[in-house]
Amino acid sequence: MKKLLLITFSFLFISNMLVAQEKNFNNIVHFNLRNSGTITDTNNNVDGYYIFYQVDKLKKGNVEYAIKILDNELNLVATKSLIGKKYAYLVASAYNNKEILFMFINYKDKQYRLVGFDRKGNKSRDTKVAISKKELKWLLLLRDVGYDDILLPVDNKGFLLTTAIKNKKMGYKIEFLPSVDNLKSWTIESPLEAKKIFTIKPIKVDEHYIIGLEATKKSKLSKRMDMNVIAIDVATGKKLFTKPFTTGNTPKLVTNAFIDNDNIVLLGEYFKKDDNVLSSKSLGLFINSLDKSGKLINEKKIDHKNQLLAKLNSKGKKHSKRVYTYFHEIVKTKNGDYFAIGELYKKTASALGIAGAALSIASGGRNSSTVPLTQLTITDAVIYKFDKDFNLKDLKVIPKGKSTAPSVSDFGSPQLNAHALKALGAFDFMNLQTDPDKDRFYANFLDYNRTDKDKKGQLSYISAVIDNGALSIDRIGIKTKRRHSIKVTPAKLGHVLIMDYNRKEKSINLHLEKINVVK
Amino acid sequence: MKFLIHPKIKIALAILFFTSFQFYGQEIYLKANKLDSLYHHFDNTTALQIDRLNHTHFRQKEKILKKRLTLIKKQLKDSIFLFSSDLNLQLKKILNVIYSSNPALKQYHFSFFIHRSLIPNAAAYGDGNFIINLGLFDFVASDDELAFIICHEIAHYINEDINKQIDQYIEKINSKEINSKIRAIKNKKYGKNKAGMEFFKELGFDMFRYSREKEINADLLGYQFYKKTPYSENAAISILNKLGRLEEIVFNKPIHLNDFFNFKEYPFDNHWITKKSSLFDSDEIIDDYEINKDSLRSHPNVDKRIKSLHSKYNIDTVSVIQAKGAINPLKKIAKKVTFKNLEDTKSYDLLLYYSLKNIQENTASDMDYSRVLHILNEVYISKKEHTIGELIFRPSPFSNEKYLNQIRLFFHKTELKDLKSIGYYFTLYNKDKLKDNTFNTFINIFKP
Repeated sequence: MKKLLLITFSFLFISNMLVAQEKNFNNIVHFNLRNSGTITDTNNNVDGYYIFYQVDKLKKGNVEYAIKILDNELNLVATKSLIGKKYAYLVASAYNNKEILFMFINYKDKQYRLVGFDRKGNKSRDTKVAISKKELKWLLLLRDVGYDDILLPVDNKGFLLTTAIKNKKMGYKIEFLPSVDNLKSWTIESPLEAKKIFTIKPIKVDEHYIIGLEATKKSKLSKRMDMNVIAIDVATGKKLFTKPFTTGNTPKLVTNAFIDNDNIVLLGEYFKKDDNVLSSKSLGLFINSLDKSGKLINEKKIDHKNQLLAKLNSKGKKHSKRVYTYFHEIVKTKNGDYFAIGELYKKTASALGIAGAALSIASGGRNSSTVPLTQLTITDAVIYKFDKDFNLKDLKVIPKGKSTAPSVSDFGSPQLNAHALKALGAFDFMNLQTDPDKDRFYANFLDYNRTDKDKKGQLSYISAVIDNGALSIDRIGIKTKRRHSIKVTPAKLGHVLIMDYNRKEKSINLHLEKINVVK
Repeated sequence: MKFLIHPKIKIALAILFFTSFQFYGQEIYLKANKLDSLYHHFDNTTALQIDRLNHTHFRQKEKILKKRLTLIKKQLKDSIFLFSSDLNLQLKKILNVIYSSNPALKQYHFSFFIHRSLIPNAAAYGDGNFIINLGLFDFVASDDELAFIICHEIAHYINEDINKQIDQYIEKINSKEINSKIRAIKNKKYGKNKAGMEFFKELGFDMFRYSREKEINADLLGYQFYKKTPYSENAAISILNKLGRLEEIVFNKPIHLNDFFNFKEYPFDNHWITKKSSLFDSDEIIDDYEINKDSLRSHPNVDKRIKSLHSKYNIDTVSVIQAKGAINPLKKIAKKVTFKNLEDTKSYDLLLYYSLKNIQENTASDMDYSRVLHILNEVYISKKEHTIGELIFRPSPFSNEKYLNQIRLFFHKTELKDLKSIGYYFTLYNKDKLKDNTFNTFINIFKP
């Protein structure tokens, strides 16, 4: 990626320099790329791209940086200069229709910095906040294991910043940073005197509510984790409710949330009493509707064996009871139907792990191989359709290549491994994009064809489009070419970005392709 | 590759285009067997230009011209130049008027080449070769205006402007002043890149300042050649005035897509041509490192050029009828060549723009209607195969070409079902404008 963007970068700048080819002029101007990424909105749609680079070293340890900002059509729209300290990294960005906000961290100076630009391109904020090394480390550690929503846009209102704070152990802090004058900032922190580790992951943010999943653990190594769902009013920062889910008669692991006419809809997996949601096998899916005080309005459970698996097997291919669905997202269409997007997986033996163990034992010792004996085998994508009362109505299996990922632990349940591997990006699901105007959803997967001999190694971008309640599948085959590196990433709503880097010519071809709705 | 349409229809389409677009049968690209002789021609003219170079830092200057020669050869190979005998014939008529009025010019044996670009422009290589962009024929209003542009380019050759510019550039970059500046920048510990950027900016300003002076001189000398011709004096002023409004004129004829693609059964959806707001509310790129654009103009302001011409020559600005003997056929042929060129390069945005322009101006033939359908079908296929992103430019928030930009938006925003329905109803509503076989072919392609 770095290489690809470096070329773009060179192209954008150097091409304007009339005479740079002359020997005399070599090494006069040389920029260092720091990093690049996307600027996204609340619906996961890419609103733009940024390229962050170092322009110059300045006196007193200062550095001049610049950010190039491209719109979602890949047009360069702004280049902004920024003076800061050495070793700054741009770690997060977001756009809320009013402001673009960038978050930089600097390990050495033990601080993070928030720089915003308004719609005229003027600097709207520039705040430096001290943070301890431990907090910084914890923040980035969490980001790497799936807590990647450090900065989230709240459309037309502001941003939500989630950072780590040190309590007796480690905790979290959520800050609301308003982009409009009529709103005030607020902060919610985990208890400072608590002797537990607290984390929070916002799972749904809209203009009115924030739904977060708060997790508490005694220590990093403890196998039990309690989880609460927290609802917060965006305007005031007031906690609307905190509701435990992992305890009681039916422990639940909440994975998704959405807001439906002031009700909060939660989806996830349920377990039998006293089960540990992290390591036990789930019994099936649940959906809960809560009002904004947290009161349960409606609950529905879908049994894994008798309903989900039975429906899956009714579609032709018979699957063993060891096959599970990992649910990535759930959406509700305007006619009231629900669609749950997932991928099938099962825990299988790893040939490499077993061979490693056998070698270890054969050489006279115990199994000391570091390769796990088991792995998760991830296969087809599946879209479950439920009616407005959450009765399972239909199922669509989207065939895709088989992929494997070594189990994080040989002893945990498949679900535990699936959750851990999801955080590590082992699944093919890329993201869900929402087009509320058209009542349309795009669930995007990236499939490396590993099975079809003729197409082996070929990339396919699969988009399952739910359009006005009807499902259509669009598959974009990406032909790989010799001496070319091809990357495919989600882009603006309903589009995919294809980056084709020609290694020989050191040139890059970027193009956006529209996802088709074929009925 | 999967075919969207039935192979039989595909064959019908091929036959249709072979028979309908008669002109398309004519060769407009250089034949492979002529490539060597043209390479030879450019080898010779470049060698002569190199001989005329000032000998200070000769190798560096020679390198520039040799690099340019390689580029020209590549362009010849890539069919960047168009070779239409009909175009050349008409162009020759104007050249002959210039030569017969300025016999001294005949000794130079100039060669004029047509570049496929649709941007109205012309250029001198400084070696006796000139290029005229295809778009210039559509831009000029008369033989007179084209003749003045040609005289201006010839003046660049006579003034040795290209060699002088190379001299100026090479001498500048080898000067003590520049070398000490470079050393100072390279030795800088802090702010090196910014100083480097400033250095390049200044160097660019110098080069462009010099270039602007040369343009004024080329106008003055070019006018000397031009005034000896029977062409109208005021054409020199009218074409300069037009060049000043280039951005307003080129690709800016209003084309309202909803006039063409709005049907009772399938109404035009304004969402297809509505731009979504960008990240910033700005009509131009926001740039903290912005360079003064005026300083980077290679050509001086048009008013300044006109003033300079007026100050030296007493130009009659009273409207005089300008000749259209060569330009009208030139425009006609250029139009056909443009369509052929756009088809071959799959420039469907421009192709649709020009086809709808013909229909709007009531100058369309049945070919324009079938071409619109052909474009819709090609765009449909490329969308289906997910290759449209490589084919059609993305719309830009800063484009001056409002209507062309709108066509790009339309191509990118419409969905497959939209294109199919638009194609179907456009065929149906324009049945009387289409030949029977064309109608039948497209109605089958687009039928729901």
